[in-house]
Amino acid sequence: MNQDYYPFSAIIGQELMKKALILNVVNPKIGGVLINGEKGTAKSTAVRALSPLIDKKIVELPLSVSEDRLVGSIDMEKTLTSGAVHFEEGVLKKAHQNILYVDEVNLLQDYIIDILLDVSANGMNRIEREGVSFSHESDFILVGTMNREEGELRPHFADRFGLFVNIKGEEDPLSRVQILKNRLEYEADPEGFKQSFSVREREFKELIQSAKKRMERVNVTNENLAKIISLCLQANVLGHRGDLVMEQTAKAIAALKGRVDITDGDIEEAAFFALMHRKKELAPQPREEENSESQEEEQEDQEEENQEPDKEETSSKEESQNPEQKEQEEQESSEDNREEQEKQKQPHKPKTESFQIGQDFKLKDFGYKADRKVRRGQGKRTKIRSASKSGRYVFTTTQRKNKDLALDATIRAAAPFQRERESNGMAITIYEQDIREKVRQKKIANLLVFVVDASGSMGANQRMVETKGAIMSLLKDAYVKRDKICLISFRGQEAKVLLPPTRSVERGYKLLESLEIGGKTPLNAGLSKGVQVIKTELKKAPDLMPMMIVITDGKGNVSLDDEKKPKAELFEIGEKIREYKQINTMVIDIEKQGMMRFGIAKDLAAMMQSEYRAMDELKSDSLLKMVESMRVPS
Amino acid sequence: MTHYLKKNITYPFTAIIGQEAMKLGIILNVIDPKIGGILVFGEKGTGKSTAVRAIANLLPEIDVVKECPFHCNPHDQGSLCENCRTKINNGETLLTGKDKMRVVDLPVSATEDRVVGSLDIEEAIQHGKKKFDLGVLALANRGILYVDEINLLDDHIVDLLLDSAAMGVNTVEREGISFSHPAQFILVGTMNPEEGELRPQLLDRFGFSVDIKGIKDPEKRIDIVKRRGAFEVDPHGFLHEYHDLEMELSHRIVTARNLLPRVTIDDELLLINAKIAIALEVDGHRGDLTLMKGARAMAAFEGHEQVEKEDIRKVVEMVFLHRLKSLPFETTKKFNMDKINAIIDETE
Repeated sequence: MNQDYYPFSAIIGQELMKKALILNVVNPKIGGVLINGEKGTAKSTAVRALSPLIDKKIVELPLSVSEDRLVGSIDMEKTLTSGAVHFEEGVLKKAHQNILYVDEVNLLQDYIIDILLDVSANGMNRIEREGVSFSHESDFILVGTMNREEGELRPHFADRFGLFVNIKGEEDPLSRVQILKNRLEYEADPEGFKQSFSVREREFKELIQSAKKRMERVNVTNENLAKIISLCLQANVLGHRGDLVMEQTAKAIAALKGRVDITDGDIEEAAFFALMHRKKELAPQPREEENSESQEEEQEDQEEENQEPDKEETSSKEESQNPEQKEQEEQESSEDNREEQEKQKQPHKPKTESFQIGQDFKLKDFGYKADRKVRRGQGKRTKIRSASKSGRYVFTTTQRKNKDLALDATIRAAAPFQRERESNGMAITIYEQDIREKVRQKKIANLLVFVVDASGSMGANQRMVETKGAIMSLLKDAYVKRDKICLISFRGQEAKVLLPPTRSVERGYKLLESLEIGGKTPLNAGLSKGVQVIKTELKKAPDLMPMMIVITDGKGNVSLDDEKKPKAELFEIGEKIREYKQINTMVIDIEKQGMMRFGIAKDLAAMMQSEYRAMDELKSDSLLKMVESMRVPS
Repeated sequence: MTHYLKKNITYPFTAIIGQEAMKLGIILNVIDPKIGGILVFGEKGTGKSTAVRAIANLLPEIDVVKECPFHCNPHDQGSLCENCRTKINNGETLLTGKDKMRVVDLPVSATEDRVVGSLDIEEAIQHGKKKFDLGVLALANRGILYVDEINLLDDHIVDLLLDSAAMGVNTVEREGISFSHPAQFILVGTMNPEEGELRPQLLDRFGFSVDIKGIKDPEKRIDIVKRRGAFEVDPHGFLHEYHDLEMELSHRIVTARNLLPRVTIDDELLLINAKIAIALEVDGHRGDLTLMKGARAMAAFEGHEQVEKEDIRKVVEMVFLHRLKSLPFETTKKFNMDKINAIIDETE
């Protein structure tokens, strides 16, 4: 069951990734590399292949890693046989002086990322838990891969990686053929294949070693530093880590080239690797006032940045919409024709139209409110008490639930009675009543039920375009957090379940594209349909965390009961929903700012005790955005 | 609960009507398990699990180490479990027995413990005994792991499955105890995309995929019902009727397995292979690699020592169907066989 290594020098293409890895090996102070890119591009193969070249281990961190396994835990066998607490080291210990490799690092659980952040910042792993206090050095090269579509990496964490590369598959057919041939040969005879690369591997190893030695003699001049800092400033890099990483990377680049002096070219190359993920996105059209570089303005700049994206989006949208609008009109007119034909058959059907999906954006956090109920599930939205053995160990309980034994607490519970208990051959005698189990916390998904206004008034001022953009953003967020979704629209006389609860967020997207609007606004029907769907789902899965997201301006004009006025009935329904504690709600108010406002959606939200967001409050104000590619500023 | 292959009679593979792509996909995976499993998209009740059980039943029994729960292969010292390896190191000889290839089911509600196995820590601290409950991955070693509705499993469990399938080893570590065992299996997953997707990264790690539908042709449907009826009335008679066909296919698969290491593929075909992957704009290189492996297995199944264009043509859709999409919200590119045929035929 030995792991086979594919020789590093047999990997074809992917020069950027290989270079970034080697630079880290030559100079571990660079601080690792984050590889963003397509699947199936030899990322793991390359990282694993490093091991024999550098006499370090590649320690892999699986996504499902538990906190115990990461930081270490009590060694049960030794503790029980010796009577003294022994500590079993975790992944962080194994990774010390080695390479810690995390595939799909952006999918790690948040609390695991917190630990990694802390340890990589201090170079130490400290465990302080009741009764156990332990620490050891943990200094490793962090190598991660990710695919951004599956979720972004927290900017803080991204910053922990020294370098960043984007990779793609090889596009030249002949190189691809060579890749296939190598693989074929390797699989037919791994040993023979490795043998045939042994000379190259040895040369490569020597190259790395000599570069490592030379590294210590590489001289960083003041001019070099000035150049580094000016590049960082130009790239609008936050913080100082960029400077330091640039310096270390430039040193490694020079050493690899057999020099002890750093050239401007080395520094520019270093910038390519080190600044891409630290760059604050620059506004495409910087305004004239921003030209001055005084530090006092920095804060203001940030505030401006906050607002700017909105402005950009709206302006670019207006530009780009002109051609789209034409298309739409064409579509609409053809639809009108169809509609007219249909009208003859169905005289009551209101006129409908469809709109594009507006620009999507990153959202502020939202979700079902955390409670104390123990639940089972997966996903990433709401923090819960976990009913399974996964999640973060927060405290212990005497309640017996799932054999998730907390050894530390159990031993402590048994300790005072050891003198009076008969030994059973082990140093500590444990009785049934001593046993403590772990209480764990983790995040799970929500059921997001979108109740969307699709009445005719949504067509005014491209409101539907923006609304669709907002829903699209919510759907993307739901995909990343693995939520179940359900889509209900209301228009004309009734509400319709367009998409019953499903984990296929993608179907939601397709329906959103074709969502049509027209007719009156039966908001009340929409709300009751939402409640009805959620109640049914809760019967099937009581652990579910249902969140109804009502997208409306509140101006309903159709009631369920003809005797009642729509608005009065709306608040009655709102009150009922509030009493239904298992349902959380969020109201997204799409009433236009500036015009005469009624504020009914806000009142409804207050009545239901919902989260309330005006549409433009949905956006996250996260500043740092990684850029996909970057030209080295010169 | 894990179900072993039921001791009662399995419907013969060769009596299954239609679903040719799925059947071929499974056969090729049996010939070369390195293809990486197969993902079956489709409706319920389309004979998916019947086909999986039937193929295992069709194949000759495998040599196993007697009483080894992992079905260790006595002829392959590299892949033995700890227990068997210790025996060898102590100079003992491993007793060889024969057993059917297993088909292990993984239910959607499976927890991580059920998949990778678990250590009974209570037992250990109270009585000083290490008790390891084997998980599904242990039972599936050298067999087929069948996961119905794999898209409804926790992502991290799917990850675990694919990792084990790729590495051939399962490692469990908890509270200072670690345990690892061989876990080489053919992964067969099914899913209905309407109920939720798998991440593109996870999809990419399946070797093949096929999209199956219920058979529409009324005559064929009548045949299916008739055969099923005949099987239920007199299973032994039915089996007897298909005995020759079954033996023939079994023999063909075994011959193909032996032939596989000698199958070669020339550069011209590798170039076609690469061009197809480029034309389809799929991410990365797993597609090309799988196409190459699939075509080799196909050649072996056809009994020739050199891959031919036809072999590529027969497997290309299975290789790329699930790889056409790289981003979650992207519209799936169409699989266009004409375009591929043009590439295959162009380089004469």
